Amino acid sequence: MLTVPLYGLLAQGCASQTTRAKRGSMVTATATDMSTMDMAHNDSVYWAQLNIFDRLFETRMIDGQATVVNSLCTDYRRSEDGLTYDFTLREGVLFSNGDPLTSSDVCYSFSRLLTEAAANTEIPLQIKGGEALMKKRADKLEGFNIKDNTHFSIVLEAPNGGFIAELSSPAMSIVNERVTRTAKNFGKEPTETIGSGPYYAAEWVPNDHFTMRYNEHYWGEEPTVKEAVRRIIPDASTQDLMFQNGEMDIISLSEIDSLIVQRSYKTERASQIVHNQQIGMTFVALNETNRFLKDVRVRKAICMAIDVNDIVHNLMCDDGMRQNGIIPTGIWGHNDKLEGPPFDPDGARALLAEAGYHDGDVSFEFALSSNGPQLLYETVSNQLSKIGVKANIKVYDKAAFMEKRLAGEVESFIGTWFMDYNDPANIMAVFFGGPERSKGRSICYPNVDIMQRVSAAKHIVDDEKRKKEYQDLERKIVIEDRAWIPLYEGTRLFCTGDRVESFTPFWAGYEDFCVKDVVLKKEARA
Amino acid sequence: MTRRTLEVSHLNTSFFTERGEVKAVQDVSISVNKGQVVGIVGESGCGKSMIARSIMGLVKKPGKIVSGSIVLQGKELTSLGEKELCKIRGKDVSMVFQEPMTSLNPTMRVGKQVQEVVAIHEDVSREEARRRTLQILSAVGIPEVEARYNAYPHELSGGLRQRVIIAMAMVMKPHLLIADEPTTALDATVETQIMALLKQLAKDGTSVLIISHNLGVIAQLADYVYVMYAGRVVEKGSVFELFDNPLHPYTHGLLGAVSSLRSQTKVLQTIPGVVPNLAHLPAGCSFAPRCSKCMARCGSEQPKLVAVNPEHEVCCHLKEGADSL
Amino acid sequence: MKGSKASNLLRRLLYALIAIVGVATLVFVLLRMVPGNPVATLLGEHADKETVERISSSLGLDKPLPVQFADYLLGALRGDFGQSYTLGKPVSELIGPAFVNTLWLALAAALVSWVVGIACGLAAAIHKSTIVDRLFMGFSLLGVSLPVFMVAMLLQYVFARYLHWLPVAGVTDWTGYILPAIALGWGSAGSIARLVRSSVIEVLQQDYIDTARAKGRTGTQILVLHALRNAMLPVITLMAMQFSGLLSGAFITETIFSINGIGRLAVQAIAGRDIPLLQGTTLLCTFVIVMGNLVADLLYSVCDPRVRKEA
Repeated sequence: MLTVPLYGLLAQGCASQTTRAKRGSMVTATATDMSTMDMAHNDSVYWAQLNIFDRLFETRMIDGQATVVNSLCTDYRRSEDGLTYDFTLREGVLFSNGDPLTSSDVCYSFSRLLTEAAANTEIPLQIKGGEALMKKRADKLEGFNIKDNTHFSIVLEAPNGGFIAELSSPAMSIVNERVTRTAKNFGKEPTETIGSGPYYAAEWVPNDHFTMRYNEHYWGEEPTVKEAVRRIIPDASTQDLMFQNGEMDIISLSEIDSLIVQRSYKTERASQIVHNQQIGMTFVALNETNRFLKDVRVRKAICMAIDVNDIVHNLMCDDGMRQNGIIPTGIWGHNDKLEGPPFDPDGARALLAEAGYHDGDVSFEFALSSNGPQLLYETVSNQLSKIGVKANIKVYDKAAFMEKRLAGEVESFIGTWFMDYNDPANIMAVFFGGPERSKGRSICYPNVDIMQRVSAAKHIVDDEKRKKEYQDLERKIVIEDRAWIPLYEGTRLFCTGDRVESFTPFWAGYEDFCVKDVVLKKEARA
Repeated sequence: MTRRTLEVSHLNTSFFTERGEVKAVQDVSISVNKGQVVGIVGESGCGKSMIARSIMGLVKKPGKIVSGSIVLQGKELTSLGEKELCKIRGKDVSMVFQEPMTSLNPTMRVGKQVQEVVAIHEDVSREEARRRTLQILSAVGIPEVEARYNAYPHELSGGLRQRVIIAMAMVMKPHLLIADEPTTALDATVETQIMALLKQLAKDGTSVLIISHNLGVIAQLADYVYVMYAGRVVEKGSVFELFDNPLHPYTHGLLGAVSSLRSQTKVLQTIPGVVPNLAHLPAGCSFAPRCSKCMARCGSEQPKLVAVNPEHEVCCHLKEGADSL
Repeated sequence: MKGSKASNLLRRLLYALIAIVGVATLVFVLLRMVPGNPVATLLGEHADKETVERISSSLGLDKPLPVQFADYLLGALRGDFGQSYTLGKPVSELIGPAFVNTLWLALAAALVSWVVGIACGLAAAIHKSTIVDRLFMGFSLLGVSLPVFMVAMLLQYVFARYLHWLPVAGVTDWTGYILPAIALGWGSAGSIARLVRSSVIEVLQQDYIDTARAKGRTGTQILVLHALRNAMLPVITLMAMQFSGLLSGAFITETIFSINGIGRLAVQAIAGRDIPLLQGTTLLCTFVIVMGNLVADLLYSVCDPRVRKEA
């Protein structure tokens, strides 16, 4: 009785089925949609920023080292005191609507981040007069001087050795001033969201799909992908099935069940897998306001009891790299001579005894956000229990976790920080740039002097001196104070479908990437 | 023979359950003449309703007519298929059920339920069917038929509902009307009215087979009476003969139960014991275990129906013995 | 009679309104009681405290609670639930299309469950205690007891992965609704089949079925004309209740098949502490359920004259 109508429907279904992307088009998927394409308000999903907009500089991974390269800017000069930068814009760049890109668009893009008073204010705030503009005491950015359509200069409040790297971060994307000024719905309405990137936003049905098409005015090389559809597929196993079925061209394997990745992707599709270091750091944060964790001997004992090599090899199937410091591998200033303490549970026990603690004395909450890596928590907790330390896993809803963490009340957790730009400041200052910041990360590092030095380090203009200062501070925090327990830098695996010839992920290994870096096979091209 | 409306002979109807064959009707012969009212009386569970269902061809599974013949207006019904039976039911023979509260479809207007019968059996226009429905409704004594036509069963009293059911049974002017306990669920005044209506129908030429456990109803309506016990006819005769001169101890008992009520004696005279289990009938006379005049042969030998006079037959060893002696 | 009918309807509508306002208030209060900072969740790892505070204030979350409540109620009256934090669009613009998607899904699923449920139930009832009955009832037990996600994944594997007849997920045309509708309707089909079966069996034993047979109706005619309508009375209530359930509780199906529906939106809103979106989706779902029950009541009284009189 069931089968008869079903067969009828299915017969029709076959006829109208179009599961594969058409020529020149590419389909990807992600679990959650972005809130907006507006870089002033969106700080987590970079899909639109990376493809619709350009920046003055881009970061590329060259020989395993993140390197800042020119993009919209073709030349720049920094003054001796490191305060003034003179920029030259690329000639003849057009926005996707045909408008020419000028110095004024850059000025507007940076000022806008401050007048919107939104998420990404930190970088433009360094420009002279930034704070005055944000607090509405001024109506223009004093430190931004336009010389002509392709030349301008920026004066900083204080020198910043990493400024150029910061300008390559997605937040510093350049928008079309004319359209954006009058837009009612910038960032939400595709026709009002105009950049100079290789693609323009064609259609956006929130929570369903987002379509970009090739921007005919693009100044760079023409990509083989002429249309990129990104669908919102919240269920990981559905994504897996869609990819297996040829309905998706590139899949990020980080959400897929690791057993499926190991047994199916890594064996049957090994040649299609693209590995990419996720430039960033997974670490254990220990809150120093806790009565046990404030003792450096306890923190060191914990450090010695965690078998990072075992975690990387067995838990992550070698899709990751052990880390010993704060500045991750691949970032300028990374110190590969740092060595972590040996894995030594007996030594850890002795250290705890020296601190006056016996089996089971040390006990604290090990907070797991509901979308966090549960297996990793269990492994670490299990390893700690072998030296008599009780790390009690407690699962929090993500929102509750974030609130608690910002208030400095999480006792311990495992965090991961991904780099936005190629400078140590992007991680050192975030966690150790001052008491407030350290508290907001629930680390509550008490050493104010060190934190003052971290915050001042970015102002050192001389690259070598700045690198040395960061590495000294890193050694102090990690080796001497054990205030940061590094674990590893993960590897993101993508799998490419049979329509894709080659694919280069974003330098930092985000799930988001530049579509222009995908090359379709000849038969899949338009 | 032309005056014979119904001739049931040697009918056997049984239920085939997991525990064995239950003989609900055994070797029953009944005849109904044109315009005659015939009553079947007996305690509940004696098989009288099964005779009605057998005639209607409505014996429910796992029940089945085993043998015998049912001839209605010269037509043998037992050999007919379901399709032919559908053509006869409601048209040539119809039935009034005992429960007026539940015998009507609760979600259908009563007029429609009557009109349906016309539509099933005759290819007439809707207007004609409606006209005939209204006619029969007023004929069975329903006031304000136009309004009642559109009423739902729950909006009518029990008496009106039973009139609707009778209208449904009569609308095609059948040769035979079977009324199974037509007044049991009604109060006394309504009972009188319904009986008067049935009497009137018989007077108009319809043969009526009335089934009841109530001797009073039978006495008032029937011309001829069959007394049933445990699936068999134990005594039959004209209503006067049977009530004046009951021969079977069971009939005696039944009449005794009634008269004790009438004479208002405090002692309720009842027949001791219960109706036997039809699946395990005793070898001899089924009534033997309850019979006050039980003899030795009653327990082993089934008595036969014998005529004591042309208007009266009984099935009892007492009478056989009297005759043979 | 007419007047009492109208006032009865009015009374029910008033109850419905009270229920909706009650839920609106409850949602507001609960959302402010549960731990979790919406802005911190929205901004993610990058946010520091100053940014969170600045954005909270720009969203009006630093206003006194009574003011926020008044804003919310007045806005809701105009159909304005504010701007979603996580999806950046006005809530009314988000829940409208999402509701339409869910409505299509629910209708398709209801169609599946009604057709399959009634057909199986009827077949089982007619062939009571035979192999057919056992087969269909076993089938319906499977429907009642198999969880939605399992049915969904099974369907995806069989019809999309191996047979390639239908897309795995997503709705580009109506074929995209087939698998989700079966997955979602499956469970309801099972319970409908069981209820139809028991209801039909019960009705077929009623005296008026004998009456209909005595009139000369054939078996099929009796089933269609007399048994079905009466047997469907309890089923209609179940179906109406289930339908509002399908509308508000299709989250799992919507997630697995990537249908941008109201259930998925609501769960997303909870995870992201997206207060405006959560308020909007909850109120819409409440409205749907309250109206669904109202319609179920009205439908029942239309179908059953006995109830109509009392009402």
